[in-house]
Amino acid sequence: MRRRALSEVISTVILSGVVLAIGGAIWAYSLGATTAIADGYVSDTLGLVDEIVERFDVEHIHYNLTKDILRIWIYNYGEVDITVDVYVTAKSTIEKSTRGDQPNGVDILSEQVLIVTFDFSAPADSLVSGDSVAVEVYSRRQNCAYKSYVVP
Amino acid sequence: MRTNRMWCRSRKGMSTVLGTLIFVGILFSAVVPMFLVMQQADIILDQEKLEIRRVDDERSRELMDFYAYPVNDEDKIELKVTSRFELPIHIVHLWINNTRRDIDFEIPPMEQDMVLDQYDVPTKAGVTKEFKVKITTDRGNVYESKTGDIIHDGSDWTNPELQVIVFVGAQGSGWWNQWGNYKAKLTRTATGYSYEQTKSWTFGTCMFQFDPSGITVTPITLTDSGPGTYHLLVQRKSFWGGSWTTIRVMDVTITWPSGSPIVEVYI
Repeated sequence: MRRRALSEVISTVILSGVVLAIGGAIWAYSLGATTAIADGYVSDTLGLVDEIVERFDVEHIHYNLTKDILRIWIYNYGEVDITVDVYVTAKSTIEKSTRGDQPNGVDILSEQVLIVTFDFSAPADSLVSGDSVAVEVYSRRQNCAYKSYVVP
Repeated sequence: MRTNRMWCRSRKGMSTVLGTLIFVGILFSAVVPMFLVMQQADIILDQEKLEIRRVDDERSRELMDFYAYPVNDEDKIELKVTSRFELPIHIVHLWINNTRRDIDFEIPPMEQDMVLDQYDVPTKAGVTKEFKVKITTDRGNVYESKTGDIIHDGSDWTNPELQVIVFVGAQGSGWWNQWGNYKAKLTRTATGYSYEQTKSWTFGTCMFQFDPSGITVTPITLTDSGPGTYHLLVQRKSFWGGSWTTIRVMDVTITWPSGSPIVEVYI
């Protein structure tokens, strides 16, 4: 009777220990998993917030006929810094972009203006008065600004 | 036997209690905080959506009249704005041709004829230069000067053509009201000099455009004599004929150079 009682106490302790060990492991795993899930969700949501609140526009375009240089002023009037890629299509055939020189994009701080310059000095690229230029600015958050321009 | 069953239930009870405690612990220390954090992130997202919707709405409703005009006998231009927006407008950039300047002006809501400042412009003796002036607000809107291009002929500022454009809409819903003869007469109050134009058998909408070069005066004269006021009389003769009926009598004021050289009137 005494031995049986002792074994039952020991078995209860062992069982409790097993339950605590497994439960603790599950607890620790759950804590880590839920923290990771929550962090990921918050990170994605805040990224979505940045995507929603970023605002920019092509403020001004100018083509210098003597130097054959196209200058584009991009104004980030939003509250977050942005990274953009600028694509230019001139005369429907000449295509240029910032992806070649700046593969990581062009950074524009909040409430700042950035001037992007394209060289059209190659004889085949040179523009004349009346030529049309289409400017597309894509942010890395996939927002877009578009403006067309006719060389004066 | 009873004792064994009791011990067995007791052992099960201990494990059940521990398991329940662990489950509740996991629930309150991991799962519930996770949902709270996710819910808080959702709340922030919703708040930002509302906020950016408000910002976009303000941007689309922001409206002002912007005038840039030359200062007499000086190589300077002066800026003037009239706000048509119920919130303050913050002007951040000034563009004179392709040169940008950072400026900082806060326009109070519905402010009328607020003169901002004077700015040097690069004129050159003997060379005609055109200046396109525009301003940018912190909401991203760009406003071009309603006075159009400002031209310096190398010695002095030149005048734009002063114009009064009268748009006359249909005077009723029936087809017989869509057609008719219209006559507009513009008389300068100060001198009595008048211009008259007639449009006949016009369907729906007709337009009179006065280009009164005869009443165009130099900016100096206008500045000295104040705004120019003109008396406008618009008459209509119906499709069936008859006499002329007056449909609008009003005064029109051209405020160039401190306002637009073109005044539009809708009737």
